[in-house]
Amino acid sequence: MKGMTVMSDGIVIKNLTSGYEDNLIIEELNVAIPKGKITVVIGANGSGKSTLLKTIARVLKPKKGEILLDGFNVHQYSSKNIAKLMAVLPQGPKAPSGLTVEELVAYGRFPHKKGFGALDVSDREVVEEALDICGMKELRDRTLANLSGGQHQRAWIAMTLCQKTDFILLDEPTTYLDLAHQLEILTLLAKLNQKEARTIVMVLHELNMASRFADYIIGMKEGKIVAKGPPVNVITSENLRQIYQIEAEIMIDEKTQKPFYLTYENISLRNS
Amino acid sequence: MKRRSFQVTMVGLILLLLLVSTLSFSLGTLALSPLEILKTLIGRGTQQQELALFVIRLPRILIALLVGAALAVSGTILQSVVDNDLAEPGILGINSGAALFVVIYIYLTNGNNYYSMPDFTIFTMPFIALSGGLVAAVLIYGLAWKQGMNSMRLLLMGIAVNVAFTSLIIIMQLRFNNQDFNRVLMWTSGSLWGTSWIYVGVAAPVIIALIAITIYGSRYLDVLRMGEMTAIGLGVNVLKAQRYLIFIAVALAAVATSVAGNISFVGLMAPHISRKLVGARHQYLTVTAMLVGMILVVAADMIARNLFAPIELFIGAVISVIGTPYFIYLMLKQDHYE
Repeated sequence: MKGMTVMSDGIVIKNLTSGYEDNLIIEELNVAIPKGKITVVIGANGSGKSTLLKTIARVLKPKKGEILLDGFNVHQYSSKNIAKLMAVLPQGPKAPSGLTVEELVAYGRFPHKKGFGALDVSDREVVEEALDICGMKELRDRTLANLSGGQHQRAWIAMTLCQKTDFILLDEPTTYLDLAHQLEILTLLAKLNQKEARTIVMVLHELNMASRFADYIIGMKEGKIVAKGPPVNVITSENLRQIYQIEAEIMIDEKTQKPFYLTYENISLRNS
Repeated sequence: MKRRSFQVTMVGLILLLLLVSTLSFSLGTLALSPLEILKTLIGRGTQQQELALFVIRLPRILIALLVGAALAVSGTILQSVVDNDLAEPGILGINSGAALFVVIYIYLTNGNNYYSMPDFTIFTMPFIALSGGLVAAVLIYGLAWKQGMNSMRLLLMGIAVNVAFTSLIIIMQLRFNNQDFNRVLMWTSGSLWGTSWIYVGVAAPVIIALIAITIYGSRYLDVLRMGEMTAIGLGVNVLKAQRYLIFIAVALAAVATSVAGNISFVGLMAPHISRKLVGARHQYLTVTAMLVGMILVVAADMIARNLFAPIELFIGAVISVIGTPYFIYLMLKQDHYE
């Protein structure tokens, strides 16, 4: 058919080179992040996973290449328009002290507003809905300082929900949280993915959690992608040896049919 | 922060401001009771009272209000954009940049006779001050830029630039004759001596317009305070917003400096006190800081005029007496910065 253009869904990263002024972290990277799925980026410290996430979030400008969000170049469209398609939650987000949960969540309406940014009835409904999904309705008048780690993170996720975007990017959303709170946050994200069809992309350190909750895993090392695909294909002994320099034993969880590691040891330590 | 407690705070601050202003009106070489002030205001005072009130005290207090408001709002903007509670136009060297340019301008246009200054310089002065403030801002921004902006580095650069500019003003002062030397001191130390209605006419519209723009942009200031990544995620073009807001902050500080000289610490204390009162949301914070700044400057001016009358103190010095310990206190309680 003449003139037919294929709009590619999801996040498509083409020939991406990115990093800091004199230190390129990622070079010529190509990958497609599927829409409607949970994608987790894994890798050792300094592997470039954070750089990748920050470049998609447009905190870093690519030196070369492009990032397409449902076909839109994130670095060419206005930041405001992209903010209606993709929400971003940084690692350890901070808010002014004294802010209440509801006030924080309402900031999610920011890209949809002009002028003073006063909220109308439909904005209020969106805020209400977000508080509800994240289980923060009863805590709406609490100040952020008076929340537990898990509640705090849920409040921030509610804010990103208020942006009403198809895509949500999260940089290590479970860092600083204990096991129970990690599970609480990831379960919430899984619910958002299933019930609200939000595409979720995040960096995680905890591999068993990544394996359990991800539909798609991208494994990075030294700025390159060394493995990608569903957890079964990525969480393997060979990949973990390559990505983390560890020797791990991989089993399959009967309940979830997802792989998990049982014990592991550091290759360099063992050899010495 | 609930709207109601904000309103209560507003009423309290406005009453305090009225009290301080009335006190400032009544104190001076010619003491006026509140009743006499009222009488004079409705045109029933003596000629002497009218002179004291309308020609001397009223414009001076109005300038104090404007300068206090401008410096406080400038500090509020800078603290949020730089993301550091220690940022303010005085400490960052923006005031001294503005003052330096004004002093150079006076020197170049009047030879070395300050008193021959023609009236039109009052209108050009804010623009000269603005260019000086902008030069300071660009210098600090440029020096502190290293693969992005680090707030502590920016602050330290500002302190260095401030010292450099202040030294340059002192060198300039040495080129003036004796009488003018003392008069030029005003630019380094801040003073409302000799302000008249024409200053009010020049400063008022600019300062009021800039503060209105700042209040309109409250939500941008809020979001910038939440960190770069959050702000970008919410659709803010961070670099553009930062530069735009810094320009407004510089303009406010420069206009204030062009009428009152270099006054530090108002921009530091006013936002900080206000945050304690109404929280960190700018729709409340900016207006509160404005009122607190007005109260501080009117009170400081009153003290400067009357404490050792007939000798007048520099208002900048009076504010520094409270401001310096406040700055040290804030620095001690700041979180560690990497």
